[in-house]
Amino acid sequence: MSATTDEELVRSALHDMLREGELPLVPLSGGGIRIRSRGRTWPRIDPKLVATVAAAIVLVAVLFAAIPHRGSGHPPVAAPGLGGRHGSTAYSAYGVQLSVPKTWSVRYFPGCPNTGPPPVLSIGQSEVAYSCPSFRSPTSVGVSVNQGNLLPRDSSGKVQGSRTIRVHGLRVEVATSTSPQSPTPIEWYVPSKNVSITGAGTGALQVMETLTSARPGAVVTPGHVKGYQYLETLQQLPVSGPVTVTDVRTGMSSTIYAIGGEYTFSGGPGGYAVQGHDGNAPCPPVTVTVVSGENVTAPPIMCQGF
Amino acid sequence: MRQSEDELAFDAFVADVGKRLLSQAYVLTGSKEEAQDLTQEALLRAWKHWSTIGRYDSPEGWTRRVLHNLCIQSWKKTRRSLTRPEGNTTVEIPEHHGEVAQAMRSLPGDQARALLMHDGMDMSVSEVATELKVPVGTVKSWLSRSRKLVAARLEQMDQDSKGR
Repeated sequence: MSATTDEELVRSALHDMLREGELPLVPLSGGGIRIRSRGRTWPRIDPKLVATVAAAIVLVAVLFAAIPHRGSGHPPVAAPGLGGRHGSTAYSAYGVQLSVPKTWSVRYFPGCPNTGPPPVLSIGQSEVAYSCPSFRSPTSVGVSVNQGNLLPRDSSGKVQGSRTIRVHGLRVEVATSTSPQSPTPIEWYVPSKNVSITGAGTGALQVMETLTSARPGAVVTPGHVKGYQYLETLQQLPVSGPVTVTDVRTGMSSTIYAIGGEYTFSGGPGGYAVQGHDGNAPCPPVTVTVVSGENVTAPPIMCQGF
Repeated sequence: MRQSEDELAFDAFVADVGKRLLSQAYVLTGSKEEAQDLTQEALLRAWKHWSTIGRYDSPEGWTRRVLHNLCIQSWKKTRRSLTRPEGNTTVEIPEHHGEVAQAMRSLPGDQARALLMHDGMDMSVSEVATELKVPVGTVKSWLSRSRKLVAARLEQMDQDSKGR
């Protein structure tokens, strides 16, 4: 074959492929790239800030040394501000992580959707949420992260118009949403983590594009515990009153209240000892292991009475 | 919240070059998913260094070099054949695109880049030589050699499809 024909053939094939390759699977935007860069571990170092930061570190170190302090463990509820840079915070749940602007609010185990001011990152579902008419949907503007495959399905159970993309190495199934909700939700499912992510409204896609596997430094989603305390007599009588929750690892305690025998609390992953009281008499403690992002029911506290 | 000048410039840059970069990654990888990942990665690196490269005459050239290197590194990492993906969940690509990408992969990295830039993106030989930092004669020689190889592969594919 002649050189000219070779060139024509190759040019034609490459041009054809370049045309086809221009169609993005998910839109490329400068905003999305910038938000994603905030979840990265590298800092964008501004030389002007270096001296200020160094001075601040020295000041904090001096104050820390001067003020007596107690041992610290993981807080009962994860606090934002640990994993983000440049105006965003990374939150991890169920093995994945998203970075959201600091202007977003974050709700763990929210009730039915469309409560609270948008935009909001919702993580996990409270038990009551499962009885909501469309618990899959986040607030009108925001992103929702939940366990399980919640992609919309047709009457035969097949996911509607699913295709696969990769986001930071994670395979993501994207469904064509047929929801009448406005704005139309973007529906993702990450099979390797069994996690569904649903977003809608301004900025939701950019947040979803920050999806990565969970990394150290992100704010870990707390777990939610529900339990009961009873007085064991001829019958089991619910006991109201203070319940002491102790982080087994750190020994830090806090007091909550059981109402009608039922108590709830949220905490970072790990073991907790929970002790109820029948009047002034302590009841035998129970232990419960809190799992990030999950609703756990503690063993019942059985007070023996006198 | 007001965007900084850098942010506005970067957003305009991504809007201008995003699709071009994506299509080049597609030629070099033969996978839409991988092309999207690598293009995003290259743009992330561009944003990381934007305070410097934003002042270059051609930030696109810098980003393109990063992207091409990422694509070529991905060849070494995966070493997988570009057979059609299994299942119905992966984005389908035309069969002959897989063949073109496989032919590109069979070339040394710089030769594949030269061929893509010259025959695909219509850059001149001297522009390719400048970007790859090699003499013009070297680019010509690479083009001639790589074109023959890719063309032969395409011819073979054409004959195979007629024989079926």
